[in-house]
Amino acid sequence: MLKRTIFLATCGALAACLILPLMAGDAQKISFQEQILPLIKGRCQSCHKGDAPPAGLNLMSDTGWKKGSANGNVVKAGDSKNSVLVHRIMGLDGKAQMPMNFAPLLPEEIQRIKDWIDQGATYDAPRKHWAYVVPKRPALPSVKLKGWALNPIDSFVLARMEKDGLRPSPEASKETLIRRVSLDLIGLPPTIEEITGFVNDKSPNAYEKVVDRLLASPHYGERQARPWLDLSRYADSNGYEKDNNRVAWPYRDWLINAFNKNLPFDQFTVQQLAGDLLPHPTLDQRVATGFHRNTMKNEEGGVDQDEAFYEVLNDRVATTATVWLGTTMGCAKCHNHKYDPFTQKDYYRLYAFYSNSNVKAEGPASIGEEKYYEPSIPVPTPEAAAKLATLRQEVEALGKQFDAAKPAAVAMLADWEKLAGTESNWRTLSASQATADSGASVEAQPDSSYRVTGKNPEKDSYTVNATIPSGGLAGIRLEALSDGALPNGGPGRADNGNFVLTYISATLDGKAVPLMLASQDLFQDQWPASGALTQDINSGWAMLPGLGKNHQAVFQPLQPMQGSKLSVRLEFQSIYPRHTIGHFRLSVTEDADPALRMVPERIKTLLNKQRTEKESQELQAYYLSVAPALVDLNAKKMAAQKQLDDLTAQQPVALVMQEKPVPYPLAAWVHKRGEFLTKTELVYASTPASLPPMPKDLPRNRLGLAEWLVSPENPLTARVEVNRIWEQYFGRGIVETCEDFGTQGARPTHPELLDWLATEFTRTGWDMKKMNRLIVTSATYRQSSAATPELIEKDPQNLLLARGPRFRMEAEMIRDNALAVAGLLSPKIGGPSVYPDQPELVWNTPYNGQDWMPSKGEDRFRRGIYTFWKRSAPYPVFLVFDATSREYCTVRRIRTNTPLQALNLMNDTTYIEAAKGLAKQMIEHGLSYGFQLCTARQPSAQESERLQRLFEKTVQHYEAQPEEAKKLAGDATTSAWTVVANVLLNLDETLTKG
Amino acid sequence: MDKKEFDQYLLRKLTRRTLFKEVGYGIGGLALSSLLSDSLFASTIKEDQMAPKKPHFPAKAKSVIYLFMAGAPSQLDLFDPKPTLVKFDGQPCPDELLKGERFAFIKGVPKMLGSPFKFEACGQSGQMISEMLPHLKTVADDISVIRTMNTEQFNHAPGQIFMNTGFQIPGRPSMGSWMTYGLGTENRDLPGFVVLISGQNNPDGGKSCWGSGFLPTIFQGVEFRSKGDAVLYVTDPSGITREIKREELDALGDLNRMNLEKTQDPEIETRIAQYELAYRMQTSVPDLMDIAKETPETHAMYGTEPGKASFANNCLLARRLVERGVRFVQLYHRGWDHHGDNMSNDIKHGLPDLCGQTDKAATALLKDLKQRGLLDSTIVVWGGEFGRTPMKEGRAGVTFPGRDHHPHAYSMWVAGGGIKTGVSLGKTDELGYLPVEDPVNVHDLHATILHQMGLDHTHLTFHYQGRQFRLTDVAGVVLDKLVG
Repeated sequence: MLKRTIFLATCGALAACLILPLMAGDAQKISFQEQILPLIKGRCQSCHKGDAPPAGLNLMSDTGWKKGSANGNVVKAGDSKNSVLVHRIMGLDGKAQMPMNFAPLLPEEIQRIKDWIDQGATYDAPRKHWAYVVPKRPALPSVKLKGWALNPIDSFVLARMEKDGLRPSPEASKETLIRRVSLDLIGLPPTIEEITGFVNDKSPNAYEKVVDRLLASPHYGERQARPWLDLSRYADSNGYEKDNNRVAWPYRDWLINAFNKNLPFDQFTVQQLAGDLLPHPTLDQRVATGFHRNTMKNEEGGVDQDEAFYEVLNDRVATTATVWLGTTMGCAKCHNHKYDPFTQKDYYRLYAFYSNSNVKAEGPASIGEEKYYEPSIPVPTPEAAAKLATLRQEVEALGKQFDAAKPAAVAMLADWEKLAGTESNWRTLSASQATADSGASVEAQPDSSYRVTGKNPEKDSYTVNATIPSGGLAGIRLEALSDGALPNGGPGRADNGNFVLTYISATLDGKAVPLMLASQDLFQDQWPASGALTQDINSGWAMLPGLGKNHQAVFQPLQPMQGSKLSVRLEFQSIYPRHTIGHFRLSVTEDADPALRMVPERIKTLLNKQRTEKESQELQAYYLSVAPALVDLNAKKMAAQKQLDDLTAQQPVALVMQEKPVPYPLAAWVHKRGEFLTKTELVYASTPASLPPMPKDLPRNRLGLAEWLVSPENPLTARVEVNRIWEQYFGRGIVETCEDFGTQGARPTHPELLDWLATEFTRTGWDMKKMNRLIVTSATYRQSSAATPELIEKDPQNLLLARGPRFRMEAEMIRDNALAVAGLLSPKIGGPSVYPDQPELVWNTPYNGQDWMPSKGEDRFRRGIYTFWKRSAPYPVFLVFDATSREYCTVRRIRTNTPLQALNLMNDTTYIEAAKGLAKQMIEHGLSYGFQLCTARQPSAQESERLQRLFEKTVQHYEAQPEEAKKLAGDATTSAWTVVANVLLNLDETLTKG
Repeated sequence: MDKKEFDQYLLRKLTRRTLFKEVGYGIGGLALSSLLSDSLFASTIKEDQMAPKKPHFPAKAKSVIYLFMAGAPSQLDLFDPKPTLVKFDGQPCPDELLKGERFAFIKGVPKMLGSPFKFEACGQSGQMISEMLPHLKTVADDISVIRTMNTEQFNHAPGQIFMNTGFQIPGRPSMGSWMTYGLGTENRDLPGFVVLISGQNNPDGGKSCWGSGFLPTIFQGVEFRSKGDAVLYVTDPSGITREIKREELDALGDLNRMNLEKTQDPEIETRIAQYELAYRMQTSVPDLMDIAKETPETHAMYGTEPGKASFANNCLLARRLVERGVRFVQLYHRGWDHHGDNMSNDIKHGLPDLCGQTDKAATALLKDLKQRGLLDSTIVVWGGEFGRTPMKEGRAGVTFPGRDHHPHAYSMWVAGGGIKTGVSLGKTDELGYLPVEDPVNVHDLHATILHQMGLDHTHLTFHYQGRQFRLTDVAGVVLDKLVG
């Protein structure tokens, strides 16, 4: 209601400008193309389109309107009362109101159509929407107020103000200015020294010096990266149900670095969209492609992987269009865009650019656990890179040795084949003792097996001690036994009856038994028994396809050993919970080479028979993995490989884009109504037909698409980007709907300024620092943000910029600012995401044991952009201040003002800690110092007096109740200062960039 | 059109939005008023958006309590008895049911699975309810069961998000957000949309289930937690008493007003008001959460134990919230995903367990609302994100009776808020596979709930990315058989 009152008042005040001309004979001629057709298209296109529309009436173009329906004209020029179209949309004549089965048109919409008919129902020629016309550099407008404008921005803004009889506000105080520009450029408040230095610097370019210092600061990149993290939907987890963590931060660091080194926006674009397709891409350029790897990943059991990946690609299309074209292309996924000139085919032509992503599905589809994977590359530190190179050489050398030794081994294959599949003489371990680390009960059974019952922890390890007969130890056999008491008949204790033996080790008379060979009768894909020879918990022996049956694995030392006291340790340390074994038996043999005798069922079928070429290869490959002559080499190779793998695994990885090699051109199916399963027509990669075409010399792939986006013919990209930059400073874009430059978006408040900025941006080689500098050094930006009642009435939202910007800081900045003011903020740039304090139980996701492990030391107080971003449970404090869960591209955060924000800032331990930090400084330097830290200015006498009063009241309280003081900050004085600091950190002025 | 009519017409026409659209780029002499943004575009929300608003037409109900049974309960074992299915128990599934179908986990030809439980016609209405829900059977005449719910999604996360937002991909506003956006809320000392969680863990769809999507974040559901602070940061820091907090707020208010004087920014007024509201919430939230004050009879009826995290406690809290004028309360209880992949998660063990956790309290909530005269103005909804297959899943050869996800037909119940009682809406085929009469999709249910709240689902819209969005997307029909 409030808004309406203001509006009507404004309308009244400005009636002379707008309403009068309208009343004087309705001078406003209604445009068919701009005001009637889009309206009808939006409401009627599900039926009245195509070759055989209902009643023969096609309403999608002026041709159809002129032609009318099967029953004749629907529009009678000059006579809305007798036009059939009007009757039908009003539901007259006892016929169903159109659009049938949908909400009727609004009264004002019906009125508009009537007016157009009454005005003569003329059909104007279609006109291109302003945003699709390449911007031309406008001449500077002339202004009455001379000497105010500092750069061309100001001329445009001033001319617009003068049109409405407004005057610019005076320049903001130096204190306000340095705070504003520091927060804007680096996202941090100025220090007291910086403020004093600037106030005392009387040189004419004192302000420009500050600006240049800030632009050169390494924190500049952090501040500029923040909005791009929203645009690129950056997060540290995959999203959807499981929401597993991912390593994504190398892309975030790439962004920070790109801004700091002032990568021109055209290259910035090309590298993010297609860095991998540049000739000889650098590691850095490949990391940049993480932009589109920030899409969510659906890992829920039973999900159709092709469909899940289809949604990923759709997101890439929509995000590209939103970020660079300010276009709501997503609408055209299911149907032609209802308002803007983009067809469904245009959509899938864009989709085709992304359709060739190097993706593969892996995992057992048979149990609904298939997942898709896209590539990642390690991004090692320089030291690690050198070490990795050495290891790689080693692995390569061992590979050559292996190849050299291979023929001799192969020669033994025939002998082995005689041995393979023959039984060893096994003796079960009896009179032994077995325990589980967890305390689960391990009970010996009459058949010498063991059953594990009772406690069922997520991980466990068993130890079995026994005395073995003399004769030596040539092998150990582990039998995994089915058991009706176990889930699915066992042998495992996991919910599904499976287990993973992650490591087996043994000692004989206290000496380690070097188990080198392993074999088994059955294993789950990718989980062979040889995986249990190393301590790596990501490998081991498992048997999902063999549940409810008995199975065995044999482990063999390099040489038979002598001794009597055997101790075997079975470890179940997998990440899969409770994958321990529930019923097992151990045996030993003195017969040589038991692991060579024991072969998987599959291999058994290949023995001693006529084999096909493929079968021979399979058998040979198996033999080479167990051949005694190669054991040593295999072990060395495995160890070196493992070292290499381990070190590689420790290196951060970057998620990158990569193409599959395909014959060109790239193509994609049009999906009817966007449905994954309904494919209709094949289209080829191309840009939307209504925008300037791709130059012939550009490749028809992502690289070509990226270069087209930043080509001089593209009417949108530069406008869209400068508009977003503008919004960072003024809280509102010149086009308020930064995400939508289409016909349904907002109109620019300063169209000529927008075009001038866009052409200036390209003219200066897409130089982002230059653009930022231009804006912050303008007189427009430097104005005081204080308003007058008159200004509030005339321009409540400050659309015409007759005063400086004033709005609440964004989520991350509020926290960064408080920590900086308190002297707590860590200046560290980049690296893995951190886990600052957050209340318990914010994370509680299904099927995912991941926990918030609070960071220690300076990582508790890093800048907000480094906070771990969990999509299903984002950092709650940021959400409260309008950050999003980063599931999708967010162009604008709508600012709210809620009680939850107040609760957070008053009561969160982080802010109490910040208050203590601020209190400490005030105890040393006085109240004004603290006030200035928060607001950059000195408090007025009235303000000081009020805070002083608060201090005195609280100090009395804490002196009377020292135990309360102790709980807060120690002694009464420190506690009272903490209370004052808490108030200072909550001042509207502290939370606002003004 | 005479002069007066013409003026009114102009006034109507000159909503800011119309102005916006009709004044094109490049038309000279734009007046400032023509640039005044519509709230649809505004970057800053200045007015009090949570103040109670008038519905589109007189409302039957004022509040909603939505008991979301995350994981998807089995309709065939609770609400939709199928003697034929019992007869064919253990038989291979007919081909025509499998053709062109996609399942989450079923592979090959599964066997049919009849319900091991008995059903009974209950109350005057003869509503069929399973023996697994003995408490609900006693209020059969107060509820209506929809047996032909169907959805487009067959995996949990998208299913839950679809059920809540009308769209399967995260990013759209949830029903509670739409509701508070359309109607505001009556108690300004509590959030208008409250979420309470019990069961195994958070729902699969995560916070998107109660997110505000593209609506301002003020409309998102606020999770009241059962451990720690009920509302994050509602407790004063250690060493800051209420007295000191009052001193702080007085000083803060005074200083902010000095600044308001200087800058004239109305946003400061809002901020002062929000800090005062926060102060009041610090009393109203603990007061709300303190269920110890309820009578022993009430605790016995719900099965509540103060201080314990349970569905029962949440049901009681839901009543207390609605009593205090909160618009939309949503309870999540996860654990209904009875695939039969192990014994504790099958139809014979897992399902009875979940019924035991919820049946008594959900029934008590209905009875309690009724005895307090709140049921007439409160819609209660019970149900999951989809149903379960008439076939046995048998994942990887397991033998426990379990059912896979089934989007085509499942049951929910609704009660109160002027909705007809004792109705069994819709019929499924003999095997419970497909609806054969009165199919109800998720948009229809949404449209119906909005309708009872006095909102026309086709007119509750928000302009975003170039078009008007609504909860029901481009579909949804109000269910006449439920609202009369």
